[in-house]
Amino acid sequence: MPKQGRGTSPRAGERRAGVPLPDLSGVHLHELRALDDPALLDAVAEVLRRPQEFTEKWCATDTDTAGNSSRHPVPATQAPGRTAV
Amino acid sequence: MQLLTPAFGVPPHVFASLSATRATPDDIRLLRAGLHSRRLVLLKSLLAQADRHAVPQWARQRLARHWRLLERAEARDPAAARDALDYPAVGNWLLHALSLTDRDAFADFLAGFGAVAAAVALRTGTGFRLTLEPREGRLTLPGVGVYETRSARVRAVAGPRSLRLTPEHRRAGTLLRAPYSGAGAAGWRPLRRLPGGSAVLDDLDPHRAGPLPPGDGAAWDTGAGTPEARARDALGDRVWRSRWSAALTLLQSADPERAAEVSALVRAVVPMARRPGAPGSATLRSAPGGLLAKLPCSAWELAVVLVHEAQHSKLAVLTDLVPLVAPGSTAVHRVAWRPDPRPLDAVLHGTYAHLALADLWQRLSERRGATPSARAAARARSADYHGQVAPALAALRASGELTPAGASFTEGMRRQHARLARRSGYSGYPQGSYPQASHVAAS
Repeated sequence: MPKQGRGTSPRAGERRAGVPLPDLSGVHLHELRALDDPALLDAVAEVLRRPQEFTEKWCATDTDTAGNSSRHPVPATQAPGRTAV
Repeated sequence: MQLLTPAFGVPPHVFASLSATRATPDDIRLLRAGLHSRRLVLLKSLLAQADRHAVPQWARQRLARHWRLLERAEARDPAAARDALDYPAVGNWLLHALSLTDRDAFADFLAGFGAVAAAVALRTGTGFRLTLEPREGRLTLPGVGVYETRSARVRAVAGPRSLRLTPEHRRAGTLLRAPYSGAGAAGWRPLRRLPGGSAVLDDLDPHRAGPLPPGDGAAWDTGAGTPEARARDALGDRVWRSRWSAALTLLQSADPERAAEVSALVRAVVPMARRPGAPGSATLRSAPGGLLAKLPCSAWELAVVLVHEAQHSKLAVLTDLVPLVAPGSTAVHRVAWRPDPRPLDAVLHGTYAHLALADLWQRLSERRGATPSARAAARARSADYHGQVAPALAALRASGELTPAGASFTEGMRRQHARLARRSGYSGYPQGSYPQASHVAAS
């Protein structure tokens, strides 16, 4: 069925040269404001340098779904406890 | 304050179960923690951008007020606050803000941070008094709803379980009660909750479909906001809710673990317009847990879309924690599920999603109560997906462009692929005996 495509990133893999994401699991917002951990600041610099690289998208067309369905139709009424909706 | 924050680590057993496309509750907790760490980096980036742009003092003070409300909300109920901050459209809003290069535009857009803080505060029952600024006639509280007004400012006064919104220069406001999901209050349009969980049908947030609002250069046509779309809303809601329930029931009957994974991962479903050639569904890296989709024709189709897009959400977060594709990857590869050659990270995503679908359809074929013809059809679809994945796995392995973690992840997918083959009697591909990989060219 669906297919996926990369969206707005200019090149595959380029972003992966980026900075490791720091583990901020235990960090609260009142701490975050003053936190100047080098790993965090590196991650922030990466975002500000290329914010568009965090807007990738993966999209699927539904033509494949139709194609597969027509080859191997599954009755919609087989949904348990439901009729076709 | 300087700490030595470690890079995010993924334990080997979590990595292994994720590579098999089947996330355990522990895996999902780790992915949520990863998503929240990224969200905090974006929030810190917002502060840094305000410094970099040297925004005016009034905008800086306003940002500080909103930040303090977020801090109070988190102190009152950390889990609820983080959950609200990690709502998909908030990620899109943040990326939109961070992409603004003009100082005045950025300072103006920062007004919307008040609505983000207000939405988080409402989720935690934190009281507040704020003056908020609608954009284009709408005050959007992400994950909660939209207040429509012609006023440039709205006074918002919240208690633990109530919210009063009063347009500037008006005496009477609109009083809303928690959980703010009731329709009928003047100007208030709540997001509708989908049955059986916490996911919502988000057809209101201007950033639901990406960092850019629909109609403002965004790639997605959500078809909402027009008079015709509003006329369709009520009917569309009923059909979406009905189909959602049926799809989850179907998943539950065939594969309860997969149903639990989908329920835990999907936070928002964003309806897209049915237009010829438009995408059927999509996931955005800026908004994991958000799923854009046309209204599927059946519960079966929606179940497939949910499983497919949930894989993209998982992988979007995981690849943020652990790079799987080496820097500078430039080659493109042919895959069985689309005609154009794909870069390696797209091959990785596609392989992962299609492997999960092969698994899904196999389990649907084994579902109790299924008729022989339904079993045969489901089994054939599983075999289709299984066959499509084999050469894609080969392409990934032969690419030489995976990181060591990426190679390990691909090996995990190969093992799952082989397990499906053994279980169903498909022709499997033991290690080292894949079909010919189809490498096209470096671009």
